[in-house]
Amino acid sequence: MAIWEAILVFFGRFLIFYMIGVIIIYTLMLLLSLLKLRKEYQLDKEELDDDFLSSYYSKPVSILVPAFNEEKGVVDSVRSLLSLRYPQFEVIVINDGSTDLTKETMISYFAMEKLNKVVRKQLENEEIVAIYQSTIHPNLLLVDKLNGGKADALNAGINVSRFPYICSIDGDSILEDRSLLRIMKPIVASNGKVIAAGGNVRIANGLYVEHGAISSPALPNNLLVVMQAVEYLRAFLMGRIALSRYNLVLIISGAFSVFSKSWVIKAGGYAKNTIGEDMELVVRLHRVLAESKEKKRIEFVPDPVCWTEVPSKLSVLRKQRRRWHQGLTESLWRHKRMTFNPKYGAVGMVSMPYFWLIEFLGPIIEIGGYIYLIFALFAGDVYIEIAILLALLLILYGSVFSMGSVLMEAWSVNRYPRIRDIYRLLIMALTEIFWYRPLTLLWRLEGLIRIIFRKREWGKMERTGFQKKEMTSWIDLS
Amino acid sequence: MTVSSITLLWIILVLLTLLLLFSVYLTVLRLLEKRKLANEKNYIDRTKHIWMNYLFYGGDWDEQLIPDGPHETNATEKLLINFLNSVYVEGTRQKIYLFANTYLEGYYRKMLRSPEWSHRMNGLYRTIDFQLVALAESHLKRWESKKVATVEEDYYLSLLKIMTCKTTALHIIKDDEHQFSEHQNRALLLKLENSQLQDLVQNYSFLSRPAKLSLIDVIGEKNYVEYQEFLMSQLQLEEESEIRIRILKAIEMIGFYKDYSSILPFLESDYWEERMLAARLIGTFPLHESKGYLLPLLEDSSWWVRSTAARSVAKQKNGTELLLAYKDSTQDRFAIEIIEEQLMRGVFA
Repeated sequence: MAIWEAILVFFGRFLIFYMIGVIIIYTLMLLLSLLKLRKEYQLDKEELDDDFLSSYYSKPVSILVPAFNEEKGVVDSVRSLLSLRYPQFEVIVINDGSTDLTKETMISYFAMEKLNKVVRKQLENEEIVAIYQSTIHPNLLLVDKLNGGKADALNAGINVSRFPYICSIDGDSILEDRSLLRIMKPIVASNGKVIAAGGNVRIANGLYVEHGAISSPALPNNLLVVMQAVEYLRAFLMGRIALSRYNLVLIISGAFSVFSKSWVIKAGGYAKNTIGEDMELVVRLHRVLAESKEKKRIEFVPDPVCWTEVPSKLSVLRKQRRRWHQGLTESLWRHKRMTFNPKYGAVGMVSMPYFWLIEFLGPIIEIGGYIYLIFALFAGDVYIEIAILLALLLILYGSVFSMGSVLMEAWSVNRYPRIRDIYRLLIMALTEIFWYRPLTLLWRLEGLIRIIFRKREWGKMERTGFQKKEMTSWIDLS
Repeated sequence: MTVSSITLLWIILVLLTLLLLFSVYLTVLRLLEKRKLANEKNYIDRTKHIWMNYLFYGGDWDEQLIPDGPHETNATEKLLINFLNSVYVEGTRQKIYLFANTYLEGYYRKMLRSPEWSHRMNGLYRTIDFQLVALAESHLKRWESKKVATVEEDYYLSLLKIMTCKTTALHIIKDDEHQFSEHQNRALLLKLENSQLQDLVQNYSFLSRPAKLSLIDVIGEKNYVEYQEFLMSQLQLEEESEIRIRILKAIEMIGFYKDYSSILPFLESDYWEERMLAARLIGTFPLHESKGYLLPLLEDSSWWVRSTAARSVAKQKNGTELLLAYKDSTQDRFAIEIIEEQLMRGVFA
């Protein structure tokens, strides 16, 4: 019995030390992010865009929009892309064997005609059935291909694309008119030293979209969606900005990112046999860069905003989180040799260990913490002391940091202008550790178990499409 | 509870209190922001027509236009920047500059004195937009002995120096000490007249690499035919492939050249980009002159070179027949494939 007690006390202390470690890392990241945001606080970025607009002529971009059963959102998404402020770009929608009316919607809405274009196959992809070009917007193409998954669709888009930079965005995302200018800025300003950049993604559920543009950013009523809004803010403030500063970013969102095409081809394009193709590509790019001894960078850009839909049902969110964790685990495992390998520089020595210890192991250890708490309630005695400490750390780690992120966002980036939205986000952040965090942890753990038993699934979110201005407004009613 | 739990509890309580205070501060900030926006809108609605009448239709000056307080000043700034960027009527700019010099200078002086980098940068943008020469001079004086922390700020301070005639864009580009990036050099070059570029061309060998690349790009973009000879001679001298590629691109953009003999060596370059651009340039000459150079490129190791050669041949008179004849005579699988691709493209184009 004494051995068991000793083991349990040791486990409790281990949990405490682990959480203190994570809290210290997150605090450092938050401080680094704040320094960056503080520097650019109230800076008139539009002036900067206009001054260097001519430089963007030398960096034309092919925007790739993989679409599988996106008939509800694809028109708004493409319209938002066509109204982007950028000197030279093309939009390539890749219909990945949709079973709904995605293709027909595109053809009829944008008056598309079949084009007989010879495609240079630089990356493998499923057969392309036909390519269409819009008669209204000559820079809009539709690639109709057999189903092969998102990565396959992106590879097909790369083969069809004409320009040296590719921008991948989800079929249901909406960009702001200056988003592409801003995300391309580090690439243009660095004279090609930056080979990839990821943008900041925000939640679009319930937003009004008029002529492909967001008319009034506001939070929806769905609590699950509000909770995800908090989560996105925290990930942005306590992760990507800080990691980007030291070229340590391993994940840039597939919902909105730009890559140098030649480097993507060198890295073998998007991996078809993986779940998290976004992370996989970034890790492979880091690997190729290190192996070819090139001093290039991959950056996260805090301000270009891409609005995207997130799951509004628990069942869909569960599948998404399961898949994300499976994707993360797969990429980490596939490139395990990079971990603690000085050949891969800071990515091998800092980034990979960070993702293993915090992102991969985090859910297991945190769930251990929750189980310990429940156990301590019944066991009492010495465990109660540890449990109180653990509970306080969980509050600090979950809710307090989330609340801090919400307020920092409200102060610096200010994408949710209504005061009541900020308070809703704050209240939700306070409740996070009681329901949302344990749920997501369980789903991530489930993803881990599925990978052990080699169960795979391809994610497909149910889309509701964006609200149109002419519809009755819930914002007005609320 | 143990000491560590109590300490942690205190930490959390202190943090929560701080967050609460911060949220109250933000709420007040938002309310002030709301009031500010309302004031700005009010000023714009009240004065928009008076402004347009004064600036564009020769209307009389109206005292109502003078902004009262920071909110109205901000609104005036928005209006005037909009006018500067979107409307051009003779004399308008001078009226705007005069107004800004008289009524907005103090506002921007405050911004330029701010310890915050972003505020100073905003002040710099506006000083340049509104040509606030006196303010620029005093700001430059203040910064004479100070160390500039960022390249961005250094760049805009250089623009102030140009504005106050303390230096020229030409001098800054020639002067290597700033180490501006390619896109900053390019923005400066675009401010130069063609005659000023002449001086840079003459001093080309003393320029930094980013300045060289930007100069070549700008010559190409602006189609300065008179520098073609310079580009051709530099093409032979440059040792770095990236610069040669930019020169070939610029020559192509200018699109007018009489002699391709100096381009011929690039058909055998180790870099496919150079071979491709050379093929494109030679492809503009009549087929009876160029076919001897283009047809062998159909067997090049790079798809881009093969494709460019095939397209260059196909677009000329009798080009398709020539490609078909070459297809029958060659054993090279890649050449046959690229000719077929090109012919397909030709049929459907």
